[in-house]
Amino acid sequence: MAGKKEKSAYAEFVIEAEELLESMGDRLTALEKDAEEGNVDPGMVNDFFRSMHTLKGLSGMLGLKNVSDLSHGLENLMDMLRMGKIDFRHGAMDALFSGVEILSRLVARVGAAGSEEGIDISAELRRIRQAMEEKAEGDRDVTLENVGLDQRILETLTEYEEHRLLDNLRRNNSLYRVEAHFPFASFDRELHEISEKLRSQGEIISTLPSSDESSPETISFDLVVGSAKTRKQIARSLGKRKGVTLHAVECGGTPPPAAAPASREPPERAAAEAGYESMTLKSLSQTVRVDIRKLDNLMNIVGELVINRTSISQISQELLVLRGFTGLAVDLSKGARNLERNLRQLQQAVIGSRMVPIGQVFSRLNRVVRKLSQDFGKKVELTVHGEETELDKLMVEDLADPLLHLVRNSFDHGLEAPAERKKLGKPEVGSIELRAEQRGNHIIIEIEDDGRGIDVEKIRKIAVDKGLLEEGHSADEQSVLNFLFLPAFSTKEKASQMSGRGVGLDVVKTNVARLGGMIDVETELGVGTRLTITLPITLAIIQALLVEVGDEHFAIPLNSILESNRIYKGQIKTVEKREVIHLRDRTLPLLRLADIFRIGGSRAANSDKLYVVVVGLAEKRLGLVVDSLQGQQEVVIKSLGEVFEGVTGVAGATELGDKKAILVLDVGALIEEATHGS
Amino acid sequence: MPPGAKSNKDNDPEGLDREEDQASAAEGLTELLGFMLADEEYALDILEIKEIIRLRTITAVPRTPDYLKGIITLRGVIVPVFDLRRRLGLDEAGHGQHTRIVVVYRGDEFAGMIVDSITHVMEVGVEEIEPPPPTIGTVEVEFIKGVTRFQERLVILLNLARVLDVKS
Repeated sequence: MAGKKEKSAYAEFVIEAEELLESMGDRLTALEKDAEEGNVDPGMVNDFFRSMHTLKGLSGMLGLKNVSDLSHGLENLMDMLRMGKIDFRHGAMDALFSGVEILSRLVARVGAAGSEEGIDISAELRRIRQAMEEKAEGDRDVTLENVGLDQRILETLTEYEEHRLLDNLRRNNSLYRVEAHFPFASFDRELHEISEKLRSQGEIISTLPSSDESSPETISFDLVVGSAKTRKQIARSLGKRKGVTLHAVECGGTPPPAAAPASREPPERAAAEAGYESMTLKSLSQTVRVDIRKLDNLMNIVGELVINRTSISQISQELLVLRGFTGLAVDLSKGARNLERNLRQLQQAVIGSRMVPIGQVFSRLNRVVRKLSQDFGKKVELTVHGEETELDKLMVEDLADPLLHLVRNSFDHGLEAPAERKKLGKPEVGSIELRAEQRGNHIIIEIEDDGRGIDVEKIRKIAVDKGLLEEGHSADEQSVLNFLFLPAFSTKEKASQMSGRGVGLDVVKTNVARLGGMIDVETELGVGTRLTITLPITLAIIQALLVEVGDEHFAIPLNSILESNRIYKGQIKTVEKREVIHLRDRTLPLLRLADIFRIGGSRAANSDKLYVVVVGLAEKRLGLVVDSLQGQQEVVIKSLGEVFEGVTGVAGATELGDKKAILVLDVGALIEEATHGS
Repeated sequence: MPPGAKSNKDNDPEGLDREEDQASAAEGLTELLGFMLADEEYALDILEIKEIIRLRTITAVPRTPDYLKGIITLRGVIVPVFDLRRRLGLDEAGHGQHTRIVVVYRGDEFAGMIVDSITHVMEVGVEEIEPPPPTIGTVEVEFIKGVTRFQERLVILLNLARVLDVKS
């Protein structure tokens, strides 16, 4: 049993370890892609190596033996990879992927149970050992022999630098030597500057202090650079700089079969070099970790400020018509406008601080797809676009499971087995594409596969069998597809290992709806399926349309409103005792807020013209009948509290400038009510 | 020692004088806030009360029992408001200039209760509070914690937890 102190140490560890593993997972995905193209970014490899080393250190300090042993193994493997002793081939990549996966599980176990028991790492360690035995094709085909670098330079290169140099030669990159003389006073800044410039053009293989002693006030360096760019391009990027000269280095012709590289550097330099040359005790990242509840609190305060600002604007408006106060009123309203601008900035900044890139979830999905692909022998390529798109942190977490389910669905139901795909003339490797993009105040997430598509007729048949649809009913394709989102509607007779876990599309829909989002399906038989999720960027502050019914006001979240229309009484038809109208080729059920909320004095009841606010959530649409529209406003949603728990149709309340509370409608619940009856 | 009225009768509850709080607790006294409902005087322990505010616009919440009048906002916080007359099964009455909302603590949240008027704060010995008699006017016994006498008048102590319990 872990003591209290250990537990809190574990909590810290888990947070840090999760971050490290997350970033390593991201890098692995990129590394794999680069490795396939034969163009591995050494910086990325070093980052990964360092992260693994940090994890080893952290876990070792806490005596977490499994985590530390496994990260130690992976660190060694990574070391061999970066030294070019083994290649980024399948064995090594698999060992890295599955090693990171097991590490994540171990860390999660430590977080949940305070111990790492129950997860065996011996298979992983074996896998790592095997991968380390896969000999590299290595540096055999090129040598340093004909490289036109000064012997003094060649002799001081470390084993790793030598490997990087050879690797550059093998990729037919050109070598350059940058000779730099900087004044003592500013050499660190200037060296940093040209290093940055050079890194944008290629790889700095080595930075060596040079023995040139032309002037006592300067310090000199030789930078060995490998790059695919021409000398001219690099010179242009460096610009004119005092004391900096660029030399092209002769790389020699076709080299003769190699002798082993001559000399090795002294051991203490090798140790110092092992990827830590830039390591300091100072934390490199400029990030602060903040509890999301603190940000919630900040958000509430900003909300209050917005309300207060509205009061001030109102006072200035009232003051404006009073005799003798015009001057003051103008000043006050000017002040209020400035305040408004500052508040908007503050609000945006606070919202911004809650935002995280959706790539965090995407990279987790990538690992899942890899695993599925291995386990089930279906070849899949997951491509990701727009991973930098930002979303509220809480929403990103709530999105993880629905997205995972949709990707699994695509993998399991959508993509055909390789043999079947071949027969159909499709590429053997199936494709799942994840796209995220921001459009206005919304985030659009698409999951698209090139699988078999959804058989609409089959769903129609099942719907008839289940009594959801009358025989011979001419429901359009979209409404038939909507049956997929009903609980326990499955078209695969036998549930597979993956999707037979009791979570259906209905759960996905509910989760997306809870985030104020909608989901749509498009499909073409034999070609593929695309699911589109539309979400608001944040939930805390929303744009709302204010409407009036009788003497009551309500706020409707703008993100669930599709349009608002003025209609005539004559357009309303009655189908099965329910009011509907036809709008843009669709039959739209109507709900009179005055009726369902029993509000007296509604003008819409008797008037010839009335307003309909068309709301949609997920795939459903509904027309809300109201007396009038009162304009848009930004509102902060607050809970009604425990007393009103269980009240349906109301999502919360908000305060407008005049200290009056206004109810915010729960569009999802109202739609549910209208479509299933109450 | 006869307990004395500390506040006045001018309906100025915002000026509640509480400087003798500690002294009275030491002597086994409890402070009550008295208020009127349908010509009867009721009371709550002053420690149960957050503040007293004038009536303001209450936003009705649909699909709730009659005795839940709706919500108000109090410095940005949403507060449910109970119509105390209805809650206790008394006749409904119009609101006048003495009508107040007594805001009380309800767990971590607050709740408001509409009363006809505030009378005063009284200091009562704990031993002077008696259990409720089986029949007491029209109010159900479950809402009553006890009764006491103050300046020759009957004062009914409310069982706040029961009054605010909306699950029953």
